Amino acid sequence: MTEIVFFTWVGVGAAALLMLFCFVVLLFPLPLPNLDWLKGFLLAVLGISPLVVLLFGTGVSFETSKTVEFCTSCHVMESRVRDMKDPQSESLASIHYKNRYIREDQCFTCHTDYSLFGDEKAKMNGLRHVYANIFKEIKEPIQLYKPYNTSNCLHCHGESKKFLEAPTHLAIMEDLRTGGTSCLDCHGPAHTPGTAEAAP
Amino acid sequence: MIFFDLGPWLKVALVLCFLGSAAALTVLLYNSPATLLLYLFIGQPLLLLGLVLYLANVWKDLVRHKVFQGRQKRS
Repeated sequence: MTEIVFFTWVGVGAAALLMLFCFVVLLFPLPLPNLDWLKGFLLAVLGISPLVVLLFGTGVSFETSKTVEFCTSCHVMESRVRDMKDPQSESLASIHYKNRYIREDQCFTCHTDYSLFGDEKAKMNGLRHVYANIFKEIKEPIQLYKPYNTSNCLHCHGESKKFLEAPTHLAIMEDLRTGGTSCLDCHGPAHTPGTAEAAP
Repeated sequence: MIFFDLGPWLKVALVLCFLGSAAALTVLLYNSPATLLLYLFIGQPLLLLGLVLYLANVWKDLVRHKVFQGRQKRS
């Protein structure tokens, strides 16, 4: 997280410098002394800082959009996140959250496929969600695009001793690996937003 | 100004860079769905366009002009 704070402030600094420079040059185009270092400085400010702003702006905005806080900023997600953070809830999301099985970016970690372009696909879908949240009406209950990918669970649990030695898992191992049986069939539900809403 | 006149295209480039940086500053300081969309679909293209316009101006005014002048003097 420290790197993100650093990158954020580098981006903020570059953006502020560029804005200040554009503002001053546009409103007060005073003649300046013809100095080589000044030429170089001006060239650098206008030529390099937009690149820095683009790079850090895009990187930081994508990185911070992985956080639970970002997901909660869409109204439709509030009840699910509230359920996840509820210590009394027995939903799968809550069990993972309260036991700190996933330490940060919990929503993103479970809802991103572990594949070559898993992150990119999740971000493209996320962009559609952001668009829908602002410009469209979202119908409840919200649903996944496709059934939950079991390999996301197996990525962490698949090789664990507890998982491998459970007789129930051994009996259906092939089905679990091919996705014929979902973990949620026995361990679900993943979220219980209704329960969290009813809680005081 | 020392090496570029504030011609119309350079003014446009500066305005675009200003607006693009403002959008970037917003998303960097407060990332929400609205600021993210604002930056990705408005700020980023403006910033890119501003940068391209600026570089085109520099190319025209600084490099081509000076190189041409230098060759004339040598010959």
